[in-house]
Amino acid sequence: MPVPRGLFMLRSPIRAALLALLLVPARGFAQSLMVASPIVTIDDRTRTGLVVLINDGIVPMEASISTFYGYPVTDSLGRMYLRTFTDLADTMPSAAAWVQCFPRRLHIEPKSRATVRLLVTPPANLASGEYWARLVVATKGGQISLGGLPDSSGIEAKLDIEVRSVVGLFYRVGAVKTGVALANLRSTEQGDSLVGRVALTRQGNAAFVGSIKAQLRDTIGNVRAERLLPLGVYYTLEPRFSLPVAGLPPGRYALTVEALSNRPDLPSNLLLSTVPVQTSVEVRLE
Amino acid sequence: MSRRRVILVLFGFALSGQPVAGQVTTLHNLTFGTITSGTTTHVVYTSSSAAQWQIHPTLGLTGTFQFTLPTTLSGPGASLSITYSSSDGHWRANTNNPSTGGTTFDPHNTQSIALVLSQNVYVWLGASVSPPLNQKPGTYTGTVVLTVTGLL
Repeated sequence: MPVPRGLFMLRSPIRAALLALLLVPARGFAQSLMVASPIVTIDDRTRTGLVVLINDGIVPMEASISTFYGYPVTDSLGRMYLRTFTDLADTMPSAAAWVQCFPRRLHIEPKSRATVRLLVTPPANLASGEYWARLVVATKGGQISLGGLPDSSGIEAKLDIEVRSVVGLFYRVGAVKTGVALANLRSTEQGDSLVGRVALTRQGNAAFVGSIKAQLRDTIGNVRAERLLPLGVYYTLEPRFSLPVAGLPPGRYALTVEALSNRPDLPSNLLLSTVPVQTSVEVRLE
Repeated sequence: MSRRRVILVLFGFALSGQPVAGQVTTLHNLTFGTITSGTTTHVVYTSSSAAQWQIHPTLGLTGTFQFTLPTTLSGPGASLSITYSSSDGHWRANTNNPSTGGTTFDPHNTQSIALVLSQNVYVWLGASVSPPLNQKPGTYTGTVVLTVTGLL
């Protein structure tokens, strides 16, 4: 009896592993883009980076990549959003104009990936520090139809879909360091939540990308509520956070906010480490 | 290195890959069905005809998403208006069902999301079209843009 070739020639652990890969269910989505690299960091020694785009869908995709300048800020209610600029002052640490993408437009076949290489060409004699840009990966796939069969009037409508994914790019020159100072921590009880705000001011010459951890402790030090808020502080930020306090007995508590140089949505090796700092205030629940 | 070890190393690379910022998938097309001139056709977000997307961050995502919505569709005749009410947008974390929970929003406004490992956000969009009786026959097109921004 002939011996089966290929996969079945491999020993059982390897065969099982490869079979597991083959058995991963394929998702039959029409248009699906993955952007690898949640954050792109490039230093002045290499001045190069890359972004991997993965078309997990079942139709070809046209992608384009571009840059702009912006950073997160908070509005009057403490909600974070990305501030963008139509005109850039020379004093802004924007790397957007220095980043070249190769290629800028590309065609990605279904179930395949493509690599976009990035080259930074900054001006000479750049001061040490961090310079920022945002990469926009825009993709177009198939059309979505607003109209099925045209009626007697023959009117048909179609809506093209464009998906844009925006990721941060950090260009680091020389020695960079970051940190954050906390101030003006305050809170109010709103329904079943304790809503707080805290002012964060970046230290050093690079953005603070990390988290704040808010904790509510009772008088004997037990943590009764906790919330982690990932954020990036480029200049100042005054975010809003809330802690669930339903069921907690009335009385005195300590509200503590700690700034940490890690966040659950990013690998720690991509972030600049800092010394954790914290601030506290006493609060009274009614 | 033995052949077995080489294969295992390659297998490890295949599984680990690179950290992935996020995956945006168009799950469903927005379909009005037959458009009758002189009437308004509205697809609500709970309809199976509404547009639907899935935002899947592999590592997690703190950020925003927003639509850039066309107000008119271009075609062979006068522009065809397309409108979105303040309740035509809807999103929900981890559940692919818009009818029993989630957040209804004005699709003209930016929405904030905070996801941890392997969570999903599902987004639905409805819209209305009202071709007048004298709308010139033909195909009318426009582009809706969904922008997903990581706040970091």
